[in-house]
Amino acid sequence: MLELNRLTGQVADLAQALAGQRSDQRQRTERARQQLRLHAQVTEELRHKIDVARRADESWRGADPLGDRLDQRIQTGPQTEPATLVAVDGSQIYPDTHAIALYYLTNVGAIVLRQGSGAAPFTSTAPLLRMANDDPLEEQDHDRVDADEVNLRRDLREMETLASLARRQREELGGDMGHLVVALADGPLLPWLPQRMPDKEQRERVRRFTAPLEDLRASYAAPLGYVDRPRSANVLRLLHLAQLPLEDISKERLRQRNDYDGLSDAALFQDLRPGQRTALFAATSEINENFDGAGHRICFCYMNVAPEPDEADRIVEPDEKNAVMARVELPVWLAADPGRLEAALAAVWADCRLLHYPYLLTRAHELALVTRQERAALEQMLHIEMMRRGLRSEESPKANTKRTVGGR
Amino acid sequence: MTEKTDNQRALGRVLRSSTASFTAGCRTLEDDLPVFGALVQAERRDGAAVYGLIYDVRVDDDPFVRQLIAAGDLSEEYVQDQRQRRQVPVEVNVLVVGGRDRSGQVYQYLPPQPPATLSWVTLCQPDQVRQFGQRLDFLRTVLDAADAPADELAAASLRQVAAATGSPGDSGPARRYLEAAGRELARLLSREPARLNGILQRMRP
Repeated sequence: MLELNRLTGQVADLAQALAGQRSDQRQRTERARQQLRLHAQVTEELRHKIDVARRADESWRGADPLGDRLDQRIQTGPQTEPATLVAVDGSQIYPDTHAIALYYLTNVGAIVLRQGSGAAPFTSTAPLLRMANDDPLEEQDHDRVDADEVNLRRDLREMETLASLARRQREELGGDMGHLVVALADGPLLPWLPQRMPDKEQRERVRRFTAPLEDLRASYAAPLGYVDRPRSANVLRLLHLAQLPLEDISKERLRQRNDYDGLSDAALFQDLRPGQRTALFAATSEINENFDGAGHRICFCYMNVAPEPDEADRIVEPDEKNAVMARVELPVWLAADPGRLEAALAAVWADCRLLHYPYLLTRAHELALVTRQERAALEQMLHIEMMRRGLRSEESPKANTKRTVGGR
Repeated sequence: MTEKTDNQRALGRVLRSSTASFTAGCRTLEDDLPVFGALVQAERRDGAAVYGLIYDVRVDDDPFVRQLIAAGDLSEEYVQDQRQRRQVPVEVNVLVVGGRDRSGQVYQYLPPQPPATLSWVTLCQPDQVRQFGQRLDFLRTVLDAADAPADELAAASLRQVAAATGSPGDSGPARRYLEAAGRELARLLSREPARLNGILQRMRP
């Protein structure tokens, strides 16, 4: 039990500390913006510094600018042509050694909306139940499937579903390449691979994760990874690098505490107007290099997806406090097609108008979600099937007692 | 209506039931929302059915819908998504007033069994409404209903049967039906003249 009366003082202290931190971050963000203006031009020297930094520290997570200015702002226009939007999201039940069996489940929710059709969108869910240890039904053998592995398998299924639905949409459009098909994923397009993964396995993972991107490219779809409230700081690390003298760039200096610690790129660019986005960057990471090798280097920009103020409010400048920052990731081949990229971003911005977040991702999430009651029903089904086969299936005493006392 | 079976208009399927009432879940379609007082039947595979009167229609909201309403203009695709694809069914509460046995005989007392979960619930066709309305024994069940707005429901159901009987007119069958129903109500509510008067006022087509 939580004795709330013992926390009143601590809650006040925490709020005070947060207020202090916010004020400090505001000042430091302002200084970062000044530095961004000073180092806005992407010079040969900066590109050289990026190369040196990557060699000095392989795990340096900076940003590699695609254009020639760091402070570029591009206004996304209103959507002019209806598009088809495909969105997916996934959820999971992680393996639990206290559950009745060691299993895991991934569920992918998908939605396809044809703008201007007036028709209800197509929706689907695809649950997949598997054993959490050596699974003869899986292609690859693993001694044990842990939470990281479940996340990766879920992410892969999401991308495969996205690619499959986008391909079907293109077929249903009779191959009309003039019609925009936006394929929206929840979260980054670059998977997070555990450091401990051997090179061979990492290569295999990259192959499997880039295959759907290849499929999406073949379908002439526009894949976008949407990251809400991003905490990333790749551009700030680039800014820190830009301020370092070339001869001072070393692993130690790159990792040293600096004025930008604790800040985010989203705060740096929070003064974007509604619908504005930053220049395009590519995250510097080993996995992105591997994606690059497969022709699918992942780029990103930040965008303020807040709706354009109504006519009546236009006399007042939009306040950056009202900005709704998103990080949008895309493969480099989409970045090379600015017209299609801008049209895709316009479609996503329009889809954000209602909820300040893509409506389609909200629905995909809702479709994918596995509620506690559904999980209980699933385990009941599993329990019955195991009993039919003479298997003993019981929760651990710990899980049982936790459920008993937690059910109040 | 959401689906059709055997040329009948299906409201939805039984969500939960008891001997005296059941609730059907259906997907919303703007023009076809179920009507208060309508006679519906929950069907059984063997041809038998439980008859009931719709006494409450609930369209529940959720935080998502509230957010969308607050957001203003919605494109038609979003509206149709909310209405047809989300698992927020319209709940239709039905007061059981009788049934039909396997031989097709209609009766006006509580059926031996409640309808099973997921049974189809369909709107009764005019000839079924006429057949059911030939007897007025169901009025006692309606007037005694504790959870339904009994007086309003009695009047609405009688108006419905009268409409299925024929066109309104001073001497037509609808008029004669309502007069007969009025006499039955007067008998049932002989000790409650104010209540009787209220129902009679509401019975006018």
